[in-house]
Amino acid sequence: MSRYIIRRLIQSFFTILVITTVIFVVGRAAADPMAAYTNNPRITAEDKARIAHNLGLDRPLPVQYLTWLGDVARGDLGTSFVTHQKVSDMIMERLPATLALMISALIATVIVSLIAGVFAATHQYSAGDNLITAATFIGFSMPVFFIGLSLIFIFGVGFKAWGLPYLPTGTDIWDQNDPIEWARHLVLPVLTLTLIQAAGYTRYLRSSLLDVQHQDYIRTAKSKGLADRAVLWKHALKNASLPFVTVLGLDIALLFGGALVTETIFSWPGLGRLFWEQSNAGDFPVMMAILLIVVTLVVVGQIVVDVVYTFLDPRIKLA
Amino acid sequence: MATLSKSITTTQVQQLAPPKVSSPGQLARRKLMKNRAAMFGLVLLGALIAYIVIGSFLFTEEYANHNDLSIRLQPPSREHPFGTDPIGRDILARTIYGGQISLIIGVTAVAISMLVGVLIGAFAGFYSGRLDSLLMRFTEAVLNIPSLFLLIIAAKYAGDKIQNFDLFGREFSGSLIVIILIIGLTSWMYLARIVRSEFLSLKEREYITAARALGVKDLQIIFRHVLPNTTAPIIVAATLGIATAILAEAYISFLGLGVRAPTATWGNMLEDATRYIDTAPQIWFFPGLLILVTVLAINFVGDGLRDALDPRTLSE
Repeated sequence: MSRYIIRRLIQSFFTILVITTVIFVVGRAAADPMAAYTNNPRITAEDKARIAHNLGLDRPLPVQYLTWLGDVARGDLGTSFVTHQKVSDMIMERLPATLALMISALIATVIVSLIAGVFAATHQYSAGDNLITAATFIGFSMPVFFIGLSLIFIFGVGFKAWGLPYLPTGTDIWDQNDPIEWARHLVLPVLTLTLIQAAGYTRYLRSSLLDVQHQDYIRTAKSKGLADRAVLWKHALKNASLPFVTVLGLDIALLFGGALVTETIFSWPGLGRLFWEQSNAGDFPVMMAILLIVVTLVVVGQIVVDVVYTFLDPRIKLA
Repeated sequence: MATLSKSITTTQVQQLAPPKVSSPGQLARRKLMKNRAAMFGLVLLGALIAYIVIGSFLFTEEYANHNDLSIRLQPPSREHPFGTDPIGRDILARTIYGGQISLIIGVTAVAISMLVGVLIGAFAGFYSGRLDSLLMRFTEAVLNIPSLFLLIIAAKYAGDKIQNFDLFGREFSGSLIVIILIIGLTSWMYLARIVRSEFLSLKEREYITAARALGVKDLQIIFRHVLPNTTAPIIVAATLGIATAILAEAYISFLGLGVRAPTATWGNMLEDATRYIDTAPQIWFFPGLLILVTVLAINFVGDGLRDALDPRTLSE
């Protein structure tokens, strides 16, 4: 097992190297930090050359990439081109908001999809199952902005107009030290993410539970007299959760990079919006740092998922 | 006597008649017809296509792009059933022309991703070995980049690189081509993996060995003998891919990096949505709803196709 993990880690190191090279080359061309000065008549060509020189942009691209790589290897994510803060500080500043959104959305998603998925699988073809299946199809096809904007329109704008207790829409200024304010502002973005993610999770769980139901070890468990409940929650679910865990592993990584669109709609001060804001400003070091973190998490997340598999299904051997 | 022999001959004739055998295609079609969700999806898709085709006879594109600031942000009325947008364009007419473009983006982007995905998957699967591991490492690497981040970087990079152009007497924004290309080129990875795994098992079949023994060239084996047997999973992936491509266009446009004026798409109609959530919900509600319905319909059909084309459930 540990040999397997070490081999996978070495492989993923090269994967990350390839990805960062691609992103560096394309991204450097995409986000031009000098663009901000192009239309400013007060900045002369010499000024621009000096700024570019100070940022190290006048050197050949491979040299820039290797410098960046060397800095990262020493744990230095660089300095922002725009705010001139340390990139790691900017990321740490956004981390609490991202983690709060990510963790609450994941917990809510897992709870909702566990209940819905198990119910649908144990009541196959019932009215409830059909309803859940229809709902998952809609959630699966739902654009994030449509559900987000609709929720704001109903619970933010509508409830306020009807004189009901309403939820903040993210456009207001709020006290970030007040836990109650945090919770209030979390409700709608968490609901948005949960409704969409739970759709996929429920579908996977339902179909894998139905697959597992007819396997020999379930019949054995039933025939030795175990209660249906125990068979379901202890034996069937453990095995049926493999695809569930796969998506979960990927989503944790992706959500960490921020639910970019959700954060934009709700003005949530997380990493996704940081990426979006800084990419508009041509702040290349921040973009690279966030992408590097997300990609690393995606790659490492897959290894973790594979290891978790062996606990959930003892028939799986890693080699 | 005479009647007896006659009856014998008829029985014989009946016995000789070939038993009814359905081809896999017929079986699949019958299964699809029985799938209520898929049929519902097809009807929805038909209605949407009728909407954007018939609609274009009722309103001209000039009308859809005509702006009049004196009637900006009007709520739905008899004259403008879906209301007007921030520069006073008729939203109903724009959803018609925007829908055409969104669907075209979906289909063409999938065509590009199919081309790339099938080629990479076919060569990796057929030649295995070093080429395979090289191509698949690359595929996995791209697959590991979150697609929205990739789209944002690509859209910023390619943004305004192509000039506006005329086609069939209509002017299109050059960014349309850019968006189609970047969506197509960032979504081929799943298809490549599917095609590769199909090739890995198909190339070991006896008929391929026979083809090789006859001296058929590799390229001919790949495209004439193996590829036609992988159409079922490709059709399913392509159908579902159209839904994903339409969503990708919507996301990237929502962020303001999509197709530029004058060309309308369902996605770029949403660009200013966050600023008018409460004051003019019509500008995001109608295009958003149309995107949802389209994606839902395509997902229904794609899911039905997957069930219908699954060889494990083909026998009735």
